[in-house]
Amino acid sequence: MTMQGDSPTDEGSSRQYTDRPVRSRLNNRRRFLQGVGVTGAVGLAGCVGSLPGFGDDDEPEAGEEDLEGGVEVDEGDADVILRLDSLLTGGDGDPFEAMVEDFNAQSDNVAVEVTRVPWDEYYDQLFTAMTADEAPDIGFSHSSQIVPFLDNLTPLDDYVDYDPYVDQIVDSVEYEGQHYGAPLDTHMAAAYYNKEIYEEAGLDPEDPPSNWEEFAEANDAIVDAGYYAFDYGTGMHICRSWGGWLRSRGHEVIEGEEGNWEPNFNNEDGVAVTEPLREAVERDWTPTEDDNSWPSFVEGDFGAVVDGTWAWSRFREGGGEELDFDWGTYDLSLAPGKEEDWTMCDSHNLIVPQSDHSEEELEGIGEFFEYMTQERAVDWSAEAGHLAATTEALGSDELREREAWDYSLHTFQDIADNEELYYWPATQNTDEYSEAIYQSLEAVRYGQQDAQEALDEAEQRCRDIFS
Amino acid sequence: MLDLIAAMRTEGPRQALNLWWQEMVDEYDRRESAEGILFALPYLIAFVGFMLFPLLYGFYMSLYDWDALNPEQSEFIGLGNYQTLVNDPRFWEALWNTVWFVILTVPPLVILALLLALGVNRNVKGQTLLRTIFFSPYILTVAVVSLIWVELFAGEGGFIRYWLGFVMEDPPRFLIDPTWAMVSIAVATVWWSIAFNFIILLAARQNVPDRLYEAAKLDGASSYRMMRDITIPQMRNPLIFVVIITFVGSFQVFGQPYIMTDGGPRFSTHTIVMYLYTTGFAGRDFGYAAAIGYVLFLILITVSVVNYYVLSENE
Repeated sequence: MTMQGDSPTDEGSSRQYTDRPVRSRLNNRRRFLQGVGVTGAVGLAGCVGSLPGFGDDDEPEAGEEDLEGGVEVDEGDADVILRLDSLLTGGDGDPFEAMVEDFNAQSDNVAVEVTRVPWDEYYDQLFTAMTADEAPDIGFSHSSQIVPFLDNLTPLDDYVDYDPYVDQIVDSVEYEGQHYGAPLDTHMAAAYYNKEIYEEAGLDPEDPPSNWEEFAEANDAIVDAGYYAFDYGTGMHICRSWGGWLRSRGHEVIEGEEGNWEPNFNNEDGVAVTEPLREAVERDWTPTEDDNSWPSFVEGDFGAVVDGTWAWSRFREGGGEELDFDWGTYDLSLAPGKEEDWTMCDSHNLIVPQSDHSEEELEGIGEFFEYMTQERAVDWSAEAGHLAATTEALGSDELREREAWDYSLHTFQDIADNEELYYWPATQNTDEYSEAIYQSLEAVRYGQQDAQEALDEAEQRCRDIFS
Repeated sequence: MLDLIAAMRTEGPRQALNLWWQEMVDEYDRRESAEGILFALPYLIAFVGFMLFPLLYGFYMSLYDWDALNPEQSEFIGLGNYQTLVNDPRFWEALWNTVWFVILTVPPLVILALLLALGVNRNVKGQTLLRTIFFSPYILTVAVVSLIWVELFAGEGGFIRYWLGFVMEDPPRFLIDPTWAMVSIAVATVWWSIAFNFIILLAARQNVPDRLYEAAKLDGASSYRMMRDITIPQMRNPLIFVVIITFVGSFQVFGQPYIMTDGGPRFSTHTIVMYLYTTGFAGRDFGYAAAIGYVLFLILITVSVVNYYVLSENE
């Protein structure tokens, strides 16, 4: 048996967890009981045909989505009615839709109706709709996902004023001198940390780590206090710290241009930023698997986890995952031996799939985009937690007075001020090459490959994908 | 056809064709009534619209570097996608993963289902309850089944690892260990879908006349002999059906690895249909995805035909 809290679980680990706090063990017992419950529920499900409440744990899983929402517009409410399919289904869905309703209320002749689409199916659905000429008037695209759609998007330069946006952010939607999206925000990953655990470990909770040495020292202290200290996550999460770290040591993850991309991570610097993924397990900062880290953090039993700006919308009052401990965020630009500060990010952009829009409709779209991304930038930041995309909003006192500022926005603002925004390279097949990389990084974390072997394999897979 | 050629010589081509066509229509009228056609029409329309047309269109797409958003800009490349496939290590890796899954699932899905069917067919107490229990997983959706088994195989404090911990020092980390991940998915799949085979084989067993067993008993045949010479031969056709349908289902596995492991760890559970999906929807390369689909189609046809002939061999 290798339950956390009872015995060392990982290769190379010598630490005994007999001093792990009781809540941690309870958490694992709860998972065990959940498994028992599931087994019992299966029998019931066999009779009733479904598992009512399955997955409705006391706390929602990270990223759990809510498709009940959207904005309805009645025929006749406006001269121009625009249809928008939204991928914002988490905690940021409500503030977005509230802003849309405000727009509809103040606009004379334009109204926007919003339909929620599950975020993990969003691009497939958008793509399928576009192939059938059934695309919405307005869609979303992350900067990292926009390339496959470019030939079928309407350039927005004639309808949106691009001067107010931060250059680094707006560059991520500019191709061949034209802009294909209106950036709603930039969102990056950060370490979300439990200040009470920091204090218990003898650390200053108001002075989180800012480089590798401080980071390692803090994590060791937290482990000594009886907690897991830090989790890089798995899947694309693991790339959020790793990608920025690689960039901090002078390498973009891939380089080149569409049709001629080359992996650029299998080198000395790549190895240097990959080895810490396993080191975190060996130094007991993190469990081998991360399937318990997030609930442990939410329960106040885990030092820090990596998550994005969107976490604010869940942690805030009414967000459904309110934390009952004092927490904060710090910049993930902590690469060992870093030369510069870089933090991986992405942006939500409003886009317009090509269609036979009238000039009136396109002007209405431009009006809506400027309202959402410029006029309401502060509100979007403060409510959804993502960092506003306009220079004015980022410099405003109003933003600094909002509740989110002290918890998370100040960290993201510093990242933007330092021009640390590193956009994961967007290609025709971003998801494919990203998966090739993160599956290898996971293998390092799990102790199945050393860093060099994993990067060799990831490089070969990326070459196969790009060829 | 020979009649048509002969008529062309004697009656001339135009008259010969008219006669031939009239003969075809008369023959058709004799064989099919209008009512019959009307009854078949809904299915035929659905078959043509949702099976035949996509099948042919998919093959057409597979001959192009297909641009789904601008089909008119697609470039004809002949068998180029198929040539690429042959040299694509990701395709071969996915194919091997799929074959491994088939090896892990088909034998238990057939043999265990047969044993369960034979067992439940005996006069045991609670037969109805047992049938309900064995069948109940099958009514769950793939998402529910996958999530149940993700919880059961979970790493930290997971149910199965917890109990294995009493007999093993370090139980496998099922879903993150490349050696165990596919095995874990196979276990979930067998638990979920064995019920279908079970019901088919149970029905087949119940159709075997009791008089055959009674006669064999009078002749002093052993249980093994009755199984070999009565049960299996009498259940041959349902067994062939079950084997073929299980092969086809296992080759097409998608939902379980997609939800349980997302194709990992290190692509060890990335199956051929997952690769097709990834190529189409993540890589937006629908021509290549269609080619993968066609190769899978050919594999399934081949496997089904081979199965049919091998299993029918001794009939």
